[in-house]
Amino acid sequence: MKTKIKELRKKHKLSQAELAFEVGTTRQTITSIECEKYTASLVLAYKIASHFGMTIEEVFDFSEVED
Amino acid sequence: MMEKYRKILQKRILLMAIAIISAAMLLLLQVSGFFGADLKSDFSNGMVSGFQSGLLTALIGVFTVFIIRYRMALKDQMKLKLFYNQENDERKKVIKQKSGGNIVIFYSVVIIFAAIIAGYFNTTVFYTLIACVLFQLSVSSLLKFYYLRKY
Repeated sequence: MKTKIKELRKKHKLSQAELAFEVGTTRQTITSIECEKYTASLVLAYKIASHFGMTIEEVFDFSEVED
Repeated sequence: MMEKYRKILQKRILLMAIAIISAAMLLLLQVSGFFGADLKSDFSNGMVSGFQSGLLTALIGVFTVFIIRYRMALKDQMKLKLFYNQENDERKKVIKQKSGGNIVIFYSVVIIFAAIIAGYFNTTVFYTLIACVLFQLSVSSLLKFYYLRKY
C-alpha cells in the first residue's frame, strides 16, 4: 500500500528509528511500510497518522485496495 | 503499560534465575557421576553426556546474558521502551506467527528436555528426539527467512 510516511518524516525531520520509537514499533517495520512490502495494522496506521496530526486516509492510500 | 511490562521482565528474570540454578545443579550431578559411571563408557554415550553438558552450559550462558540485558533495561526507561517496541512489533509478530513462532520454540524446548532425560537411559531415543528438534527448527528458520524477505 502506498503511503506518505516518507515525505511526512522528511517534512518533520524524523528518522525511521525516531518515528518507530514514537509509535511503538521498530525501524524495520517503518522501512517495510515505506517500501510497500508490509501493510500496517489499523492500530499502527492510526498511531502513525495521529503522530503527524493527520487522518489515516491522508497518510495511507487506499485507492488500490481491492474490494 | 510500561509498568506492566516492567513486572513481566522482573518475572522473567526470576524464572530464568530458577532455570539457571536447576541447570547448574543438573550439570553438577552429571559431572560428579551421579547418573552412573558407565555413561562415558563408549563414544556414543560420551557424545550424549557431552551434548547434555554443552546444552546445560549454553542454557546457563544464554539466560545469564538475558538477565543482564533485562536488568539493564529495567534501569533505563529508554532501553525499556525499545525492548517493549521490539517485543511488541506487529510485523515481527506476523512473521513469528507464520513461521510457527512460539509453538515451535515451546515444542523444541520440551523435546530437548525430554532428550536430555532420555539420554540418561537410551541413546537411540536421544538421537531421535534431537533430530526431530533440528528438523522443526530448520523448517521454522526457513519460513522465518522467507517471510522476513517478503515483509
